[in-house]
Amino acid sequence: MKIVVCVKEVPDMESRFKLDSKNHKILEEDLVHKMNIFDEFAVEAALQIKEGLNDGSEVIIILMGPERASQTIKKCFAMGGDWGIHLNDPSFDGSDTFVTARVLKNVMRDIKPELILTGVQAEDNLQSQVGQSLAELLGYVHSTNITKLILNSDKKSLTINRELENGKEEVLELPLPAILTIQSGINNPRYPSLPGIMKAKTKKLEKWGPTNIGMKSDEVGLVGNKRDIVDLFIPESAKVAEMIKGDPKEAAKKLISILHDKEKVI
Amino acid sequence: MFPLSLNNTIFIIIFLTAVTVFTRRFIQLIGFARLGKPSKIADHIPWRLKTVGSEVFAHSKMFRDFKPGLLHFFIFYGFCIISIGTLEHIVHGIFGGSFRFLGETTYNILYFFIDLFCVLVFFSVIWAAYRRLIVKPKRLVINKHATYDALFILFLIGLLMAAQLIFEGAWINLDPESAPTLMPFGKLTGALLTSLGMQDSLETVKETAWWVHILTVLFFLCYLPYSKHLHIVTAIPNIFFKRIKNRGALYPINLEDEKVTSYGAGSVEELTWKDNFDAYVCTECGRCNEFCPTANTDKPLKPRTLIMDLRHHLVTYGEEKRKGVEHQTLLTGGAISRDVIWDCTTCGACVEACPVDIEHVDKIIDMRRNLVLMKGEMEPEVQKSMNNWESYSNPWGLPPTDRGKWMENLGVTTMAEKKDVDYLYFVGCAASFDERNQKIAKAIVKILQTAKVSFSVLGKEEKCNGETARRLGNEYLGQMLIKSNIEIFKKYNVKKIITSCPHCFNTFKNEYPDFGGNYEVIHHSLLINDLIKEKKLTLKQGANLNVTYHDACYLGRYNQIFEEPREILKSIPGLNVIEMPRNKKQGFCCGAGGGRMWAEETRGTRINVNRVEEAAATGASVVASSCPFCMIMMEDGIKNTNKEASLKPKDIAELVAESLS
Amino acid sequence: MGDILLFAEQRFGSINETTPELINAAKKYAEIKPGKIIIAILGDSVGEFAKRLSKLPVDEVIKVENPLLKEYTPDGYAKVAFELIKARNPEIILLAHTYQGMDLSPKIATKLNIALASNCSAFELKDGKILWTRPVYNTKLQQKIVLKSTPLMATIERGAFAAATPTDKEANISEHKTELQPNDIRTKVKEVVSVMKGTTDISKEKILVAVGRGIGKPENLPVMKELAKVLGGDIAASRPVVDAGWTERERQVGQSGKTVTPDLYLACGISGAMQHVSGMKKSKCIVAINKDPDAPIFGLAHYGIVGDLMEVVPALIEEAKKIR
Repeated sequence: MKIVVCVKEVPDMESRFKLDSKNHKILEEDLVHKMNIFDEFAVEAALQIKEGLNDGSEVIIILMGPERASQTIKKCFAMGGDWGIHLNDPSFDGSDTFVTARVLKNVMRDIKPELILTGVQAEDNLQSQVGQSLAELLGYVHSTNITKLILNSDKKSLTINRELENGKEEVLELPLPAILTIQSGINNPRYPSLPGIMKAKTKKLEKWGPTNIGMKSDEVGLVGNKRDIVDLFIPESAKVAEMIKGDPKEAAKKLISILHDKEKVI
Repeated sequence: MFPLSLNNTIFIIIFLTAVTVFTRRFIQLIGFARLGKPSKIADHIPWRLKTVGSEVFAHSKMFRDFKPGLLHFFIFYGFCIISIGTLEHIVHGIFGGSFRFLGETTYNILYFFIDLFCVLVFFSVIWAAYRRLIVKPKRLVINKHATYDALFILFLIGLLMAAQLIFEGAWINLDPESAPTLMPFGKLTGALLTSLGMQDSLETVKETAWWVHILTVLFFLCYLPYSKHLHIVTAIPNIFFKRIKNRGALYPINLEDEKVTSYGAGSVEELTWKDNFDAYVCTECGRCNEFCPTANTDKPLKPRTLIMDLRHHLVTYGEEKRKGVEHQTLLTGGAISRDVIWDCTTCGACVEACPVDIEHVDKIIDMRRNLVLMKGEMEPEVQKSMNNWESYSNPWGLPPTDRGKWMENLGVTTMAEKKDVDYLYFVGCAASFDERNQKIAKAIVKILQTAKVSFSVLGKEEKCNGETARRLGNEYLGQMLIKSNIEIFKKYNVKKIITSCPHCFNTFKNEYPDFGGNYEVIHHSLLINDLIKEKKLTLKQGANLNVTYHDACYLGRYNQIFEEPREILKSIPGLNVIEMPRNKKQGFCCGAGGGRMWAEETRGTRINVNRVEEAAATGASVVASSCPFCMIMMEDGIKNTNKEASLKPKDIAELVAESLS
Repeated sequence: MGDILLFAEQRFGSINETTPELINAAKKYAEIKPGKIIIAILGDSVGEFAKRLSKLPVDEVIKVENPLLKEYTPDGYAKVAFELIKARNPEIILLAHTYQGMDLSPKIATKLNIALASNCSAFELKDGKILWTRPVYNTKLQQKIVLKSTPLMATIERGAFAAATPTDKEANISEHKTELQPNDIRTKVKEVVSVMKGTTDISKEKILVAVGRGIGKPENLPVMKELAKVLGGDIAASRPVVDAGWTERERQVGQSGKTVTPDLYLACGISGAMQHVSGMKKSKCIVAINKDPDAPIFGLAHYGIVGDLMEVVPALIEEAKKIR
């Protein structure tokens, strides 16, 4: 069985982001990049299925990103991924979810995986779209926010738990081929062993551009996007801690009102 | 004496049997140990001889616990001297001769000492039995089997001494002319025999005593490889072959070697043969447990148990291999549990205390390496820290760009701004990020600036030096961090490093040379002490405070720096230094070392609380330390025991900075 | 004057609370780009729901009833949505960004070959185009985007708009017969389970009242628990409190405890040491109450009160009760 995991490298979310307001981007200087946290869970889930099958099934890593992102693919290899494709071409830069889904669809045409896993969302864009869109493009069934994943004994269908609101989950059965977006907490992503790290250096990693997937450079990247970013800014509330003055009763009243009316958290 | 040649034949048969039994088993045991990996040990001979002289012949480590040290001193020297007598018995048993050829004076002097030591040993043995049965010091309480073994050995030794004395007594009475003249206790025994009316059976008594003595010796010889008393054979070689490398330096794994496919120790075949051999030397004395932080807080890790379990496992494993039988248990995570492997703070109190130089810490590190490097296994919160080291070069997972924030507006230069300085002040992760420790860094900066020391820091270029990652078994990550640091130091041509963290200090000084990084490393306590002595700092009279100093393991025990921090405290007017009972070489660990800072303490009671209570009990109102981890642990422990009002933790740098005029 | 097509959500016998918010969002949209607000509701028997929706400020309610729509499935709901969109040709399609909305909307957008703006907290008209505001970078930053395809499609962030309230008008309810076949639906819904099995899992809570050593003694815990209850959340704790045995380890937040991202994190008597902060700093709204004005937590919190916990907390409980 071929299990594809679509992985993204994102900047570390703990960073204090500095903005390039003119270009509506964050400044890359001094940033630490790592695997999108949700994708880590997806990789682990894929590896567990592969190990459960123990029949030569492959876990294939696909990543779209710049050169530095190959370190994330290597980490997936070190965890146990078998081989991968790095969609690394300047024309891919800035691709939105619309473009990304279509690029991936063309990648999958050659691979024909039975199962595709992605993380629920990318920590940077928070769109939560690519997995679902890709499913529609490929004609695969999909589900999202998966907290439990079992390959049924017939090896042709899955029993999954999908997270719902209010502490509930629904148990679903889906036929393969399928795409699932994986929620955090489903497993404990393994720490790569040293032999794994050593082996990762020699696993097959192909570098693909638009031509490898039969697309033109104007169908991808900023040119091919179906949405434009026109502003990027720091929202008001994240700037400074507001000290609420007054005696306990007054302060309490003010706080509750803020939490209810302004922050809408209670 | 007994001309019956028949006795000689019987004796030779018995003697050879005993020797064969012993040798066969001993060689098997060596074989089991040698299942382990090679270990380079025969270098630096003069140093090794000196160590044997001090630890064996002067009993330097044994005397740390004076009374048992003394009684063992008697037993040891008694064994040496009396063995000459035993040798004479054996020679006599085989050939029928004696050692009289040594000359009358020598022979008399020899037997004087044999006689003297017989009694000394006999009473030492009684004293030892008394300790084990009545006094029952904590470290001697193990289990029934070990106690019986110990008492049995004491009994055998006592029996040997009694037999020898009775032999001498009979000998003197039978042969007053030719028996050695200087045997006062032999004479007394002889008189005792007479008073018991045994004059007529003296020959029988003498022969019986002789046979009892010799048979006991030969029985003992056979018993040796099955008991902890084997140490009489293994201890001196073990001390001779002890670890040359500075204890503070872990043995690096050569990660470039492509032939190596297994890292760390998952079985006894992956420990070094010396690590395995250690297990045969353990006398179960329990001194390793005395100051061990985990043994003292009810955790499963007790260094003695670790070694005894290793011995048991090694022998079982060896037997299984010999018989071609499948191995029932593995070492790492099996015979030695994961809890035991992870709880160690690597404080080294066990290694410091062990009179036969067993190296507990090395084995634990190798087992950790197996778990982490081969299986990617570690406690979940530790895994978080590993990921943080990888991504952010600090265990907290805080942005590297924040690393220099604490020094804003202090006029401190970074290497990028000014690299033409005398010292690199390596701040370390704790002082860079932890609020409490940032105060210490600021104090150090104040001191350095007051004394006009020329220094720069790395600021946001600073990365963790990998010390803790290595101690948590992640040799790969540790070496990556080390190599990064060496590159940065090269970039700025760093020659001298000041650090306020003993872990940083230890690794730069003792471990970085293994990777090509050679620097002059100075812990802030040494520097400050020098500055005070050179009068570059003027300390004004402060409040009269009782201070107790908590020795940091990686500064004190590992690098022998005990006096300088104390001298600093003593030179601050108004401070009165009180010692805790467990201090200097026997300082009690705060609990944060070995990577435990980053893990949950889920087993037993809290190590830091144990230490804080000891500090509070001295009546001091300040507990001074010289390590950021110790600081965090002390603060935590003080909060936990509600002692904030009565006991304040301070770094020595803070005390000095506060006292600067 | 294009139509604004909304998709309501219903499950477990009620309309999702985000649906009235969605309607309000549509209302606001209609103010800047006038158009008919049509809301579709899918299920097997949704007559009651349709009636309720018709009383909210919408212009038309379309009910789609079919046994195959009893359970939400992406195949079923997306096909119906596509039918409706093809039939009504709206200018804009909106859903709420719920678990269901998240699961469904990209599939619909892809069927239509259009872009989708997800989890939008606001929108505005500028130079004739709609700008969608949405959180990015773990909600640390926000972006504004313009969609370049038509029809427009977006999902609305939960709680970004207030719930629309019923009007005195009643909208027309129409019916749409779907051509959905059993073969169209590949997902089988087997059962719904509850994750809360009695074991404490604070990471699922949206509101946490976290207690630190500042509460002083375990005797002060009950009042903290009451505050948590009144706010609809649960108790979390910093390490010293758990270590002292005042509460269970499952409630510990921090470097070596749980990492939580609730909507509201009330740090009470917590100083804000690094080890704790790393476990909760991604909380949406952090409020710190501490008697030490220099406590590091105030550097991280969104709101702060310097005061005695035992005075502030009872007052909070009283005020919170008033708004329930």
